[in-house]
Amino acid sequence: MLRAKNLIYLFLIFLLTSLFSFSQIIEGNPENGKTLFGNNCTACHYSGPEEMRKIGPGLHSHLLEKYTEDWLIKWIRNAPALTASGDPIAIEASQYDPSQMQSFTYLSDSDIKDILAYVEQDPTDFEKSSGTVDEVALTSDDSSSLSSTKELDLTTIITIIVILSGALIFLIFINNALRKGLNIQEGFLKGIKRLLFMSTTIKFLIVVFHVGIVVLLVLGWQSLSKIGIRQNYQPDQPIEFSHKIHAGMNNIDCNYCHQSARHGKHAGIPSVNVCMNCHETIYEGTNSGTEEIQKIYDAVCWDPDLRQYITDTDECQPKAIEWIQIHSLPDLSYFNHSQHVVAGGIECQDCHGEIEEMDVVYQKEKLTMGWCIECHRNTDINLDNAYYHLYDDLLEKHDVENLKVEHIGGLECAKCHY
Amino acid sequence: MKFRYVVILGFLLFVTSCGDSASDGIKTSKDPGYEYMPDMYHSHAYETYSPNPNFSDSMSARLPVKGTIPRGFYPFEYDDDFGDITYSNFNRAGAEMKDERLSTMDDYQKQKYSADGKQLYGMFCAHCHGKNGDGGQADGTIVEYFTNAPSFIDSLAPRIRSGKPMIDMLPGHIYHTIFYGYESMGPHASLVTEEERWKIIYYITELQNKERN
Repeated sequence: MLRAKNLIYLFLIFLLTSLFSFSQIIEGNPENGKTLFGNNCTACHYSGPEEMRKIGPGLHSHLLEKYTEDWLIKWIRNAPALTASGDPIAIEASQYDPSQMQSFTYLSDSDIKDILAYVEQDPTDFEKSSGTVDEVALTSDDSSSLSSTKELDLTTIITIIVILSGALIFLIFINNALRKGLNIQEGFLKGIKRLLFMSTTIKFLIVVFHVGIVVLLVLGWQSLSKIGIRQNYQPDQPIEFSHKIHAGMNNIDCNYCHQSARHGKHAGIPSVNVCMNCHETIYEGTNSGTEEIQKIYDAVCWDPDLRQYITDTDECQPKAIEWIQIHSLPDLSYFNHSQHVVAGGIECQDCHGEIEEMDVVYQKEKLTMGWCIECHRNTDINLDNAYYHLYDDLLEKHDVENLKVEHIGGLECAKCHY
Repeated sequence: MKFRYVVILGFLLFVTSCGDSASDGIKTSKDPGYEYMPDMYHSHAYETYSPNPNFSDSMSARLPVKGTIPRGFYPFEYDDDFGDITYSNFNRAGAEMKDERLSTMDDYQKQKYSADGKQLYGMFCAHCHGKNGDGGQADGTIVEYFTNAPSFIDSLAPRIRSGKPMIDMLPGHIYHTIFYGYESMGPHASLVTEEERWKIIYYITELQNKERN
């Protein structure tokens, strides 16, 4: 056993040393190589094992095992010319993908050596160090938000208790005052006295009765006032898509995916081809690895290994992703996104809240009629428009400095209900 | 007795109004709640994204019927270059296409055109190509995960398709690339309309001219 183990160790040490000595061959500055790689290569290559395919293969130290340094320099500088000259290795390499590697004639020999020096370093070292930092930041964020919500809960409970006990005292006072007013022969003090000398069971029952009525009415009132309002509705979506990552951290404009918000009534759920614009190459997510992105591929029949769509209908049938609607205006009222986004010029966040900070989206606003009206009463309209000189008369008629939406018909019933 | 309940109700109104402002911590729910008069809430006609039992894939959103085109839509006359290593369609588009609208525009309209183009560029291009068109490495926001898109004002690297650096890309080249995509860039035809594409291209051309001078 011991011998076998020793042999394995020896073999490992041999491997390590051979790798180490191998890495000495390329002389170059990997730091400079990293910038050059970022500027020139990342459009088509990941730095990593060959299987990490983008347009071309992932680039790693295997490159230098497969090809000689001289050949690589020639290939990187002008791949099309090398292929055209009939170099057999180049012809084989050019068959990797239908799209061809472009020429980089402006890179000097030392530049290319720098790139190769960067490529043969272990790329996971870079990723690991950045990954841990992110994780630490994320966890600390989570804990802080948790504690803050707990505090808030406690304060609400305390206020409710204070309010309820206040209500009880208030009710006893009212009770006695009314008795006095109705000439029932019992003063305020007498009432208190009566209460004091009652048996404890009856006192307890009276308190329970009153508190019970108050609680029931409060709960009833609150639940009635929530009918038809989906505020804070946060359903689980079929794909765990995070707006925080896409719109927040990656800073992709809302309109990129919801481009029909500027053209039509609906803000638009992006069709899967929009997802695939990036996710053809990004197959691993920040939060959920490959699992959630695989759901996009399943829906649209994309084979991430072959990097092409499965056209054989027996093998895969494209299917709809059934997203769950969160913001839902009843059919009895008409709402048009383009009118508000283009003409009104209001930000998405004004109605939908800070979407770019939500991992899972919930409805921030009530979307009640009162909410609409409030905004229409308070929002100035932009008169810097060739057509709106018609509205100059309205300024005098309403005797206001700035026209609000209500002055140009924003409160007309038939604007929204027809 | 009657008075008592009137007073209690009034007090409840007060309590509920207080409760709302006191609880600012957001508690989300997976339950959409109750609806009153659902027959006025849900459209009888099929809405854009509502499920539809009449089609096998259950979607109301449909593609145009084969052989028809949507109103106001013009087909794009240049094909994509898939598998064509001479990139003939791309280069033909670059040589032949130009924005017809520009010839009839005065300076004010062009200014507006450029401003629109800048806004659209910010929406659809900036996260990969950088805010000022100087490449993803400069200030593109998704470079780290996705790809380093080339700079529009780069005058060094000749591109494989046109043989010229990015700064000499012609409007038709850019139009063809927006429409069909190229390498890591997916097709953006469904995202921007024909007019919006030309607005974006006008803004990019301005950036290129500014760099040249």
